[in-house]
Amino acid sequence: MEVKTYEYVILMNDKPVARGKNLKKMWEEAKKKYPRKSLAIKYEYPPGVLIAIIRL
Amino acid sequence: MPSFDYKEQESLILGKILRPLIDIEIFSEIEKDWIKIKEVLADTGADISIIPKSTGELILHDVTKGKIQEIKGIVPFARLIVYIHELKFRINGREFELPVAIADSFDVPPILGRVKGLDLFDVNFKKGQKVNIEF
Repeated sequence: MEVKTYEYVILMNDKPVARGKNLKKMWEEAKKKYPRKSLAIKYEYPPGVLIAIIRL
Repeated sequence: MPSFDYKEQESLILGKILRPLIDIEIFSEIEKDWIKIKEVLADTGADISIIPKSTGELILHDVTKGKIQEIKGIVPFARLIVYIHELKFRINGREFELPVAIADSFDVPPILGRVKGLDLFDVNFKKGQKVNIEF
């Protein structure tokens, strides 16, 4: 069974333009292609139940 | 007042579900500019805000310079190493500085937690449909 894990998506004006795991590389490449101010990053969750209780 | 629609995502147990995800910006020391981060979980169960290492690497020259700490969740025995940094966040033009745990892992979702984060605002989770944030 394929185990799905996280992925990052680079958005340009809310439209996906890159997807993958190496965020740094994707971000640098996106900045060369698109206006910096139009870009955003999204973390894509793998399917599952998200329980986020964080204690220090 | 910023308002964010819950976003549909998939749960293996519950099928399609809606989650309270909001858009933020984080100031990057490297780029001397704000980086937009979409769909950050607004989580009142989280004491501290957290971002994955990959995002931290776009913001700070050296993530490991923060105070090293071990954090826990609900899962028994599960531990996560994080580096605590003071970062500048912005929501809808409103800036604030808060302690953020940068995970020593790429596989951690970005979370806006309570301390100096959600606690600064009146946050209204509207019937599983919208998150309204009042400054």
